[in-house]
Amino acid sequence: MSRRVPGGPDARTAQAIDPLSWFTAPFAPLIFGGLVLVLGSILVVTGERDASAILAQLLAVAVCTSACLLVHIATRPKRQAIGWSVSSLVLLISLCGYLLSALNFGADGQQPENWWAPGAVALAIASLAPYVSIRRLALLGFGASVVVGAIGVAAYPSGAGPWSAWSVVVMVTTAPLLAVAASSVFIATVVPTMRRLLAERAAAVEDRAHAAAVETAPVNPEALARLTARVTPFLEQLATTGVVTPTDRAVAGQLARRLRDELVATADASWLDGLARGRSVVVMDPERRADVMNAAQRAALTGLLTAILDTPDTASKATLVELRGSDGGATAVAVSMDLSLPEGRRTMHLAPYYLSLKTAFEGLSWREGDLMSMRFEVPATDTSNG
Amino acid sequence: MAIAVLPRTTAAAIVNRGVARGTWVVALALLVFDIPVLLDVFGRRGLGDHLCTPLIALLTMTCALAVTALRPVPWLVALYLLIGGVCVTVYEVGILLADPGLAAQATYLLNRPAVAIVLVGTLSSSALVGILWCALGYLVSVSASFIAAGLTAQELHSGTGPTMLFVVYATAYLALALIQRRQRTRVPDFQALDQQGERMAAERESALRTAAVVHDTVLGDLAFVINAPDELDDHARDRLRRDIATLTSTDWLAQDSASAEADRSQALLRNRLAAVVSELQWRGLTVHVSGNGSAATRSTAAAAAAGIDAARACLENVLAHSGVKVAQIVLGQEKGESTIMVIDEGVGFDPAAVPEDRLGLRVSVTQRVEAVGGYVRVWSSPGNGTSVLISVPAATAVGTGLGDARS
Repeated sequence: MSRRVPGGPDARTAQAIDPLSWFTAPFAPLIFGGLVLVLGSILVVTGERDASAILAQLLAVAVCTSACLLVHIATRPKRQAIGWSVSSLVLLISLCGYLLSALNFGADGQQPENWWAPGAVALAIASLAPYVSIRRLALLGFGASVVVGAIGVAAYPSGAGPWSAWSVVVMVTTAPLLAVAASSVFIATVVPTMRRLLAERAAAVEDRAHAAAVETAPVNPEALARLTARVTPFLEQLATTGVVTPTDRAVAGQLARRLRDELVATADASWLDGLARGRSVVVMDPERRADVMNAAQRAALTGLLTAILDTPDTASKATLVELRGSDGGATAVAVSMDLSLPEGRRTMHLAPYYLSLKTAFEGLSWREGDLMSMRFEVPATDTSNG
Repeated sequence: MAIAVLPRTTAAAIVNRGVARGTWVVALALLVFDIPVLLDVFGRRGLGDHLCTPLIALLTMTCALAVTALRPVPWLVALYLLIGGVCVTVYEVGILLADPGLAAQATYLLNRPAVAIVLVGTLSSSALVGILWCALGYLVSVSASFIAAGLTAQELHSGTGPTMLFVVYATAYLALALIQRRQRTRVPDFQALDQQGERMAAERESALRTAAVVHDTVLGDLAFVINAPDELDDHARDRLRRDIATLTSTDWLAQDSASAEADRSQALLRNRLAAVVSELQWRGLTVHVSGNGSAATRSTAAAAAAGIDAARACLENVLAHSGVKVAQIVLGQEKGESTIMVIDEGVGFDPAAVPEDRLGLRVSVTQRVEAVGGYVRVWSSPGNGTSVLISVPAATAVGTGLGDARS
């Protein structure tokens, strides 16, 4: 049995290894964006004297803030993990703000040590920390720091006050380089530690499940009594008298047919049918594919369905769960629901369940509309465990 | 396998630890980056003779920070704050005595240690504790700068650096605390979901086992009645009574304890296999038992019972469908599994053509064995007999004497 770690064995970001830590407000990129906006604006207003310079600097503050805003938008729960292009775009926007600031900074003889813009680039780098790998953060962060240093030198080519050009480079690059170092240490602490704990937890539960599997579940006395209520007196009578009449044979035939139907129904019912019984859920699973899901997948799907069905505010009028086999042996699952909640609240309500599905299944997609639907897949290789 | 999500308290502690370690690295880097700037400024101003005091204070603080970062327990962090506070004072006094003009002109140089000391953290699971340590560091920073200014009779020139960094880190920790607080209410209890899943799986196994028992007893008895002669012999009546007793007393069907005494368990299994063979002999099927039964690998009682029950269902199929009156049981053991092979040379069948509503092989054999972690393989084709391999997980090897059962 393969032990599935969220985001797959190659998960290298804090968000991929534990998506649930990053979906609730206050969102980390918005916090960093807010710091850029507030601290940048304060320093601009208190440091600059010229009105046009203040406006230009505030514009630069807004551009730098928008970089953090982009991180927030690009990392919402329903979106895929951000790639190189989005990460690069974030830093590019931030560097544009920094450049805009550099063009107007120091006209009043301001010192580079009071420059807010390097810190804004640093906060943009830090806002990416939960969502990118160390490698990408280091490459992009160092690249951005080099650009920050180069622009700093261009702004103060012969130094400023007591500072040489070399000291200016150190001063302006310190903040982004520190952000790279701190973010890298953060990722290097969180990702391996969580991966190890998840693997240990999966192994412990797997051992427990295996131990439970080798012991037979007890017979359900109530079900047994229900199934045999009519047959037992009939057999007792035959065992007592030792005589079988044509009527007895006919009764035996009827009882056998009815019993067979009930046994077939029992054998055909999956755990999902049990969950849906008595609720407004329709399960279409002609191949009994639900039984190929492992415990983690069952728990994730149970969580989603329970969240839809048992929360009064969100109760779905109709929920349809369809399972189909594909050529490669995988099982495609589609969950369609008709929720009365507005889209924003619906998204936030279902986000933790969506993210937990993401840790257990592959190819998860979410489609909005009047009838919201989620689709995902049980890989063929995961079907041998339970 | 549980759902791959860590408990929220564990995840929060790891994230806080990541932030704390990042904080230590930033503090260390601030001090290290200050060294070239200090050398540059003092070199350009011809203050080389005064370099020793601030440089030693800077290096001492860097070493203290490095040691504390390796083991950031509260008492060591407190000691670091004490040493760091002294270093900040000595560093600022050293610079201000060397060139009082640097207080106004080079705040960046003057306040680096004062900025770094704000960035303290511990490996606490609570983000709020991080804010408290940051606040304490900020207090030490401001106090040290005040003392340095007082000792040198200068105005306070520590700049906005310590305050700005305190605001940034306190805000980050506060955000973390709020995120983690909200998560406790928003994230579902995955442990409960795991348990619910296990409970549903157990209920399903229970339902299947109940169905298998009913199939093996009642359904077989009804089929027997449909084809029975007008008068039942004593053996047939005993069979009905035995099955009724089985149905009305489910004690023997309950889950066996893994801690059950091994010899007793093995004796029961041996007797059950012998009873199965004996009963089928009475009903007209001769069963030859062979193989490595005398040292059969011991399974849990539940697993072995499932294997024997499945073998019995196979023998019932031989009796009902194969057209022959002889079958063979071969007991075996492999590493980690016990096997029972049921072989007949009857009419055979196409396993792929068995209708879905035929329960014998599916419920009584396959699902029953799979429920205890085993598996079943069927080899058969029309006209070429049938072989069914039943494998159940094994534990340790003990002698069972199953090979003595012959008929």
